[in-house]
Amino acid sequence: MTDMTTTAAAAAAPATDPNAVGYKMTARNVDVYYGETRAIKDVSIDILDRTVTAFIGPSGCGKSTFLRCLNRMNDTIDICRVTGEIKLDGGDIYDRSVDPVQLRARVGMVFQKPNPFPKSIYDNVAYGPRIHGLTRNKADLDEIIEMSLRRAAMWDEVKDRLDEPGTGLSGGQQQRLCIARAIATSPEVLLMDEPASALDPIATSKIEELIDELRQNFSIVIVTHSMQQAARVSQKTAFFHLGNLVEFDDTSKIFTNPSEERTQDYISGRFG
Amino acid sequence: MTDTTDTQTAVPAAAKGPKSKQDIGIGRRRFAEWRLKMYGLFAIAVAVGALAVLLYSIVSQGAKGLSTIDAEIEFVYDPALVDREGDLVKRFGEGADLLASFAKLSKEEQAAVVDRPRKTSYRPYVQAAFLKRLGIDPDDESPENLKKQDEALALLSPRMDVLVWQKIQQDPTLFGKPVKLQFLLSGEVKAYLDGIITKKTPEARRALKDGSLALIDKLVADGTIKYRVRWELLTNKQSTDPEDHGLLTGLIGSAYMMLIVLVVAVPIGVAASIYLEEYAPKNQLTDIIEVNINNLAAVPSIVFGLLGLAVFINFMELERSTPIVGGLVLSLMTLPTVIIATRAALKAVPPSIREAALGVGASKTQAVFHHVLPLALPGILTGTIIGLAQALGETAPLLVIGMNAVVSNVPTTPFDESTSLPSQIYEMASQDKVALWAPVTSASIIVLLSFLMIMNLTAVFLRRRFERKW
Amino acid sequence: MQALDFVTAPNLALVVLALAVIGYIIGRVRAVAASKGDPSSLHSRPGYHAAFVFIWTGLPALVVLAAWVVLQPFYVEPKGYEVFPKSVMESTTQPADLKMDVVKSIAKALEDFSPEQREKLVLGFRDIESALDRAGVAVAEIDQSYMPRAAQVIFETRQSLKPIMAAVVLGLAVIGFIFSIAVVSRRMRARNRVETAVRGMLIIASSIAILTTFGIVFALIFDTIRFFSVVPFQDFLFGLTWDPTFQGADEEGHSVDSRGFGFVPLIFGTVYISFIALLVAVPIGLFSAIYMAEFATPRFRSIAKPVLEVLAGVPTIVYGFFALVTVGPALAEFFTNTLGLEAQGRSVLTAGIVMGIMIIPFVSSLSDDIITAVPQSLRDASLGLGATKAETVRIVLLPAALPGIMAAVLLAASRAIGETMIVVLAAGATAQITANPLEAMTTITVTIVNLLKADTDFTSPQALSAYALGITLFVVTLVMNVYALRIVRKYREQYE
Repeated sequence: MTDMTTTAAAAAAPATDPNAVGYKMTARNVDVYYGETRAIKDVSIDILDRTVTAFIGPSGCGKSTFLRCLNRMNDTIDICRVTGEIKLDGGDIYDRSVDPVQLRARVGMVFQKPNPFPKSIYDNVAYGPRIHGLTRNKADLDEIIEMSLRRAAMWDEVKDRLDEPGTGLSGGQQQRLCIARAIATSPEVLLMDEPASALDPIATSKIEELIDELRQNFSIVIVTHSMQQAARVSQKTAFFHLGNLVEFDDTSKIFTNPSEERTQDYISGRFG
Repeated sequence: MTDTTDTQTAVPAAAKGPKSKQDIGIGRRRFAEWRLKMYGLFAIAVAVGALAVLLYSIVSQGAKGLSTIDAEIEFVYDPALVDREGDLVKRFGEGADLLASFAKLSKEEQAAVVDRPRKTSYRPYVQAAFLKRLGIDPDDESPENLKKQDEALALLSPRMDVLVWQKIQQDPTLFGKPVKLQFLLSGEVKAYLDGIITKKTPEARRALKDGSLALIDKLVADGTIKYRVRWELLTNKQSTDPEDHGLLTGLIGSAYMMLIVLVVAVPIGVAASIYLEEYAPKNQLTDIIEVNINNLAAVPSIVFGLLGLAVFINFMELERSTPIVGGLVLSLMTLPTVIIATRAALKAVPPSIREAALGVGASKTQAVFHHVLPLALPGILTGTIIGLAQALGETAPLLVIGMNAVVSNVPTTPFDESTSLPSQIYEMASQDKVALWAPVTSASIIVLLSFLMIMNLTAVFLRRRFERKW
Repeated sequence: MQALDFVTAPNLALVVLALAVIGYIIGRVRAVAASKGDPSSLHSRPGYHAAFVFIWTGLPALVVLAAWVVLQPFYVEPKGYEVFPKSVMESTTQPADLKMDVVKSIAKALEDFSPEQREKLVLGFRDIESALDRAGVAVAEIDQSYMPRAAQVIFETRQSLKPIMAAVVLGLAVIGFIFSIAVVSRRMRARNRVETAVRGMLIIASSIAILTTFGIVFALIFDTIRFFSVVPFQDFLFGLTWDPTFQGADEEGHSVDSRGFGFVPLIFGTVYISFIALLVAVPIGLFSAIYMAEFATPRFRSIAKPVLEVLAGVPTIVYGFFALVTVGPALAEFFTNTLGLEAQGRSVLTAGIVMGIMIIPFVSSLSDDIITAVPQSLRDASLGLGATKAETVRIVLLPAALPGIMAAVLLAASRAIGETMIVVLAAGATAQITANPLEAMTTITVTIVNLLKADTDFTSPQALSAYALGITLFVVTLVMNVYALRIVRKYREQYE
């Protein structure tokens, strides 16, 4: 982690080459407007490959909004407008030639509330591979589903009841199913919007373990309102406040020795 | 978590292998999306197009029905004609000046005299006046002149006798004087002028032969035939012929029925809603009432007609074909609409209003009637108007209770026989000569739709003007 | 006799109301007087005291009056039946209550007659025949051997009840008036009592909806039973011919030909036309709804949605005329001239297509609501995985919304089955069973209208068969509606 500190120090105004190896996504001067309201103000940030990056901040600070910009989920909201530049592997994701449908296959997303489709567990996980045409036959599909469920650490729990509806699982299982569903399309980046906020502590710890495992293969961005969670699972942490990116640095540095006073105040619980 | 280690080796292969396939499908997937969008747009276009065709068909035909033609022709109420029964001759002696003696009579006596001859007695005189105007000798009985006469008389409405008779009824002093009368021409003449029948229509298939059509052209050319707005559509009673058919009885009948719906359905509906929304405990009974109201809104309207026939006519022995029966039937039909709208309006008033009223010591009833109800009023009014509009256009139950009858007298109370606007339209639409009746039927539909539009626009206006965001 | 003529239910009601208004005024004055110039010393405001007197004077009397009017026939009619000869009472082919309807119409006409005319009813029947005819009595139906006598009995019984009714109703009003005025005082809790009464009236109002349903069921059932006493149930339900031309039973009362009352062609026509209507309305309505819910801009939606709903606001008689004058001839022309098929304006196809247009909004509006109600999280999940909107609709939204959409289709179908004016004008009146959609066919609703719209005698089996058809229609649509509304309700609860 020591080699990261140099880049992290320059987080507010990154000076390094954004296309350097290790950077998965880069955002430059991103503004997001909801109608007339400016929800995100001039945010620039780098997301590293095979790293967990946590977005923290008080509610309404724009961290979820910004997360949704990274796979253009904001496109589904009519009044939402994004300016600035966001690149995935050096390519602008807001470029006209980019199809958001394909983008979202590369940048997957897990939502705050578990949202399995009212279909079987198997069909839930198979949904992505099927619509993207990732498999040639049933055997391939079965393989992907088993792998995804294994990586979501729930294969042993559900392998005998793949035909049962996904909505019948417990909350924690549902969320892991959603994660399995998201990774079944083999995304490069996985966005998680407060994935454990609707879960009990035991289910939460399972999800956190899972995130740590997934780091081996994916670049993960997680929005969380729990500072402890950010400290536990992430290597890099970004602190948002009122639509601004206040500080972005190594997680250890943010939680022990932040350079901004507002970060210090938030971490010590003076607001938020 | 034990299973993660052994799968890690498989990850890169699975992640990279199929990835290239994603790009192959995207064109097809995007096309499928475009296709679905087009299906949707096409479906909406078909629906809107159907509405447009419907309205165009009504308006284009109705425009013809909203105008009428007159031919001003001089007519003399011949003393012999009025005194057909010979009353005046008997009274004043053979050879007396009938005109002078008629003038001496009192108003009542004059009325009695002109009341004697039957409507049909006027026919020869009307026909003679018409023929004279066209320059045809009414008395020449040579074959070619008779043919000419037939061709000319085909233009005249059979209803003209009645009009002439009515005119002298209204004003007996016209007796003996030459009057400029607007002669009513037959529906076929208007149909020819409107282009519904043309010279190209085979002669055998039209009532007016070529000679008659030539006469019409002549009358138009010399300016005898004049177009004007057909106000008689609103002021005339029903008729057997399209040229002087009017909606008066239907308009009055419908107005009475709307009044009854307003007086019966609205208070009951609002009261029921207040109870269900503000007082009723949430239990099985109110649940049943709720389900029941929703179902009632979907019961076929003709069933309400049968209910009206069985209950109001056969059991309560109210008169058939009267607005009171029609109004009660429509009230029962409108009730669910009023209740559903009123409940929605009451629900929209926030509980804080009720709490505020109770907080200053108002009783529950006072809170509801002083605060909640006035705030819900615009919503209730809107729902009521929409319910009334629905009731105004309803036809089927009115046929079952006989409101399609031909009514000879203009109804004065809701207990008199009457028709209704939509059932009159039904009767016109079921006439045999569809093409002749279509313009006036469409014009009547325009009248009906205009009322509906005014009502609905009022509802929209009320909603916009008084809508409150809490 | 003069005074008795005045005693009618509406007149009595007016008198009672007038007394109640007087009571209102007196109650108010007494309450103000009781306050002795200090309004706050009254428990209730003077208006409540006034309303209290009004209610006590008017309500009990009017309730009793209404009950009297409803119950009187149950006392009067048996008196009339006593005069009926035994053969009529025991006839199985023509129930006695059909005869009673004729008798009652005579008795009603008697009320407007002069005393001389009334006497002639039994003695010189011929003299007043035309007067009876004018009063709307089906003179041809009158059996002189017993009907005039029975009518007279009923008339006289009614007359004799009038003074009692007047005494009871007016007496109640006066007692209420005196009692309520007497109890007006400073301490009297008039407001609470008035509010209790108001609440009672609200409850009665909300029970009217239930009463209407009961009314429909009872009204239809009674006459349906009368119908089935003439025509056997199985002949109606399974008969393949609808041609009700026979004139009831013959004089001896046997060998009734009930084969003309076969229900099958009617239900066939109804279902066939509704099926074509759904064939038109379901795809158009569903695709419109999908577009509106998932693809349309808010601006487009705000214009297109009300325009579609106008289709539901156009009266059905207008659609009927449109079908008859525009669509029918156009279709006939197309099939005859272009395809060389034999076709006419009035046909199953014409009625079906136009009805389909009419019910588009019933499908589209509810489907739109249903699709919009699918939670956003499911949409997010699918889009977040990289699905296109079309895939999201097809694979996620439609399956989730399916029960609701089924309910919408069911409601539209029930609307189509019960629809009258379009089929009356555009489907023809031929009761037949054929698969050719270019033929004219008839439906349940058309038959009901044709049976009853003419000024017929409402006691003939033909007229009664309309009730049997009506209750069939009611039950079928009721089942569909209850089922559909239950699905919708469950669906809404699921996503709330």
